[in-house]
This record gives sequence, C-alpha cells and structure tokens, in this order.
Amino acid sequence: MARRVDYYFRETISGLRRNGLVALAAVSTMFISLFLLGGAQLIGRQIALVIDQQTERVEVAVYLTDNISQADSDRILNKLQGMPEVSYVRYESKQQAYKRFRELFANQPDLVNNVSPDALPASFRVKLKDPSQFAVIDAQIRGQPGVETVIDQRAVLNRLFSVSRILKLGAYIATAVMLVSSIALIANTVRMAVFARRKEIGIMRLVGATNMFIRIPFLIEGLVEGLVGAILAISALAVLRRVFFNSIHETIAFLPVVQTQDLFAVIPLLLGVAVLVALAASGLAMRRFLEV
Amino acid sequence: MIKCEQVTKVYKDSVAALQDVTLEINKGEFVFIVGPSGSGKSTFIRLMLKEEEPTSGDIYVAGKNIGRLSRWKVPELRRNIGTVFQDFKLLPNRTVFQNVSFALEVIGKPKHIVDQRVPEILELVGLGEKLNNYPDELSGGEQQRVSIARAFVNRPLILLADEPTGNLDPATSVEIMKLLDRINRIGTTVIMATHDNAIVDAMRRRVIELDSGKVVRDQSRGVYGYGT
Repeated sequence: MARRVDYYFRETISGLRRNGLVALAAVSTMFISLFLLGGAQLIGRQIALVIDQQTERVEVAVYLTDNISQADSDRILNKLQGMPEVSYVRYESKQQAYKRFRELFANQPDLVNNVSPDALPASFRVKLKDPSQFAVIDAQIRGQPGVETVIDQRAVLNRLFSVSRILKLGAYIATAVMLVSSIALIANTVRMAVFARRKEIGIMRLVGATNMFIRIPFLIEGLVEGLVGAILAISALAVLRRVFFNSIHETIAFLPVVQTQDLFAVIPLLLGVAVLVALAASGLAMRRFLEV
Repeated sequence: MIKCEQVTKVYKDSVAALQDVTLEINKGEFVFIVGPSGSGKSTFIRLMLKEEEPTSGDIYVAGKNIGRLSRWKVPELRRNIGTVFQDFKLLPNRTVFQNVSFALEVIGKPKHIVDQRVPEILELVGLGEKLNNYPDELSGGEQQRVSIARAFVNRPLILLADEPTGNLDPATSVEIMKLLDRINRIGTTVIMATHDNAIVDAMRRRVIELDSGKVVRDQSRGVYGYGT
C-alpha cells in the first residue's frame, strides 16, 4: 500500500511539473470561479444580515413641518393611535433625532459637525402590525396640516433587496461560465498528462494493470489542481472579508458585518464544488483518451 | 491452455484477417505461428490478449472463454500472459531494473517481492550486471532480453512473442531463442509469431502456418516451409 501511495505521489508531481503552464491556467480559472461563488455567498449573507436587523426596526416615519402647532401635532398623534393597523407610535423630537444622527455617524465627525440640531425634522415613528399596510397610513396622513412627508423605510430595504439579487445573479452567472472553463482546462491538463504517458499506459495495460490503477494518478492530478484553486479562493475571500467588510464597519458602525464563521460556512461548498469539477474534468478526459 | 474454436476476425470493409481458425495449444508447448506479413499472426496475438474481439467463434485461455470475460477481469487475463514485441517497447527514461520493476509495481506487487524478483529474473536473462543501464546503452539483443524479463517477471502461464527476433542479427537471434527455450522448459507455454525460417527450422517445434487468415498447416516438430 505504501508503495502505491508513493507511486501516485510521484506520478502526480511529475504530471504537474510537465504541464506547468496549463496546470497554472486550470488552477487560476478554478480560483476565479470559486472566488466569485464564495463572494456571492458572502454578499448574500451580508445582505441577509442587514435585512434581518432592519426588518426588526422598520417603521413608517411621519416627518413634521418645523412650524407645526401643538394642536395639529396632538391631532395627528391621536389619529395614528386610533388606526387599527398601527402597533405603536413614538414621538421623536428634533433633539432626539439629532442625538440618533450623531450616534449613527459617530465615525464621521465632519458630517456630524456640519449639521445643526435644528436641521433635522421632528417625526412620529409608527410601527405597523403588518409592514405591508403602509399605503393605508400614507393615504390618511399625507397632506394633513403639519405633515411634511411620510416615508416607508421598507422601500429602502426593497431597493437593497433587488440590488443584492442582481449582484448575486451576476456572480452566479460568472461563476457558471468560469466553472465550465475550469472543467475544460483541467480536462486539458489531464489529457496532456495522459498523452505524455501513453507509452507507460500501453505497457501498464499489457502487463495487466487495472483501469483503476492506471487512472488514479490522473484523477489525483485533477483533484490537486481543483483543490489548490479552492484553497487560493478561500484565502482571498478571507482577506477580502477583513479589508472590505471591516471598512464598512468603520464607516457605518450600526451595520452588522459578516463574521469569520460566515466564511467557514461557505468553505464546504467551495471545496465540494472544486472536487466535483475536478472529478468531472478528469473523468471526461479519461473517458475520451483512456479506453481499454 | 489455449483453444480456438472457429475463430473469425473481419476488420471493417476488409478481407478476413482470421478465417475459421480452430486449434488447441497445450500447457508447456512451444508453438511457432508462421506465415507472410498480413497472414493474421498479429491479429491472433491481439485476440489472445483481448485487445480485440473476434467477429465470431470462441477463444479459451486457461479454461476460460475470454469472450465472456467482463471488462474488469481483462487485467487478470493479461497478468497470465507475458508479451514480447519486435520493437521491445521499453521505457527510455527508466533503467533496466525500473523497466522490469514497473511491470510488477503497476499490478500492485509489494516492494519486497519486487526487490527480490527483479534481480532474479535479470540474472536469468543474463543482464545481472546491467541493472542500472538505460535502454539506449544496450544492444538490441540486450534490450530484447529486458523485454523478455519484463514479460516473464510475473511468471505468466503463457508467453506471447510477436516477431521477437525481427530486429536482431542471426547470432543474437539464436541467443534470444535459447532464452525462450529455457523459459519454455520451466513450464511456460510459448507462442511465437515469426517469419524467420532459419530459427523455425533449427528449433524443430510445432508449427502452425497461417495464410490469408486460414490455418494451412499444423505440424508437430515442423519446419518453416514445405520441401525445406
């Protein structure tokens, strides 16, 4: 057994050395496709985190004009509280709005210093029992005296949703294209390895080596290429996660950010895809060039 | 050991390479298959190794109908048949030792068996001193000895030799024939395709003559052609 392992190892190394450039191409396409796939997964997880957090907090904001009378303000509050769709209403004064603003943008003192407490409008924060009932509130409150505008925060989330959907779709399409080319390239290196060793293979068949024994070195070669690509992709994603997502965290402190364990969760998928692609490619190459 | 029953092989759009060949070769026999080029000698050897299937008829090797052998059992069949070719088919980037050990390694023989048998067999073929030479450092006769060592190292029941002396001068050919004779005396069935009449005449063994795919003569203790 030890002898076999030794044999497979030597064959794989010499195969990779012989086709250095093609092997490099195969590894790089594998790397790019898995990087895209993993990136799409991480972006998906990031968006899901944001959406989860924000759905909890999503409110309808009824912004009030600066010169609203106490009577108008009370009347709007009563009206909102009387609606069956409303879960609760909370008043946010100009000072409270400014305080929240300062917390949100604590990392950007320039922005905070440029905004005076007076610049932000007071508002009623309305939590709905069912967030999709926004239109009912909007119809009854918009245009009332003292109401500046009515904003549904859900609309912002929906935009975020569709942006993320397009991003992910694009990444998946690119991944699919790259995966097809990595299959072709890995199959090509395996085919070249088979060709370079056709004499040995002929003798192996003649002396009665099993098909399995003849094929295993080529399978391993394909697998090594796939797995090296996967490991590179995982490392690159780890770096990307630190740099990119940490920079988000610094500018928008309240946003939840994907963690290292999110990356770990993606790793099995990437390794699995790498193994499947490599096996498919090697199998394909050998089916065509290694018939008994 | 080998039995052919009405074996016919027709290649695409071509005349029959073998036609209705029926013959039996017993264990321990030494048989020459003779005939001009294209008479079907090589086809016969390829059929034995199940590299090709007969168009019709049955071939039995060591009691088994190889037409019924499933694909994954073909390696087992080939382990029982050593094969030697006119062009030696040695691997140029491996030493004499490695060329022979390769045949054992790739059928999964453990290292201690390889290390014991390879020097033994190289001693038998008279190359005990040239273990670490490369094929291009050897004469044609020596290269053929390596190829015989490789064919025989796994101790097959049958040795097939396809024109083994075709590339060698007469003196070297005689040496190779002595070696094959010795292997035959150990109990191996040897089947040799050739059109070297001097050798056939000298050996006085069974001769099966093929012409246009047909057996035209099967003679024990025969010579190459009629009237010689």
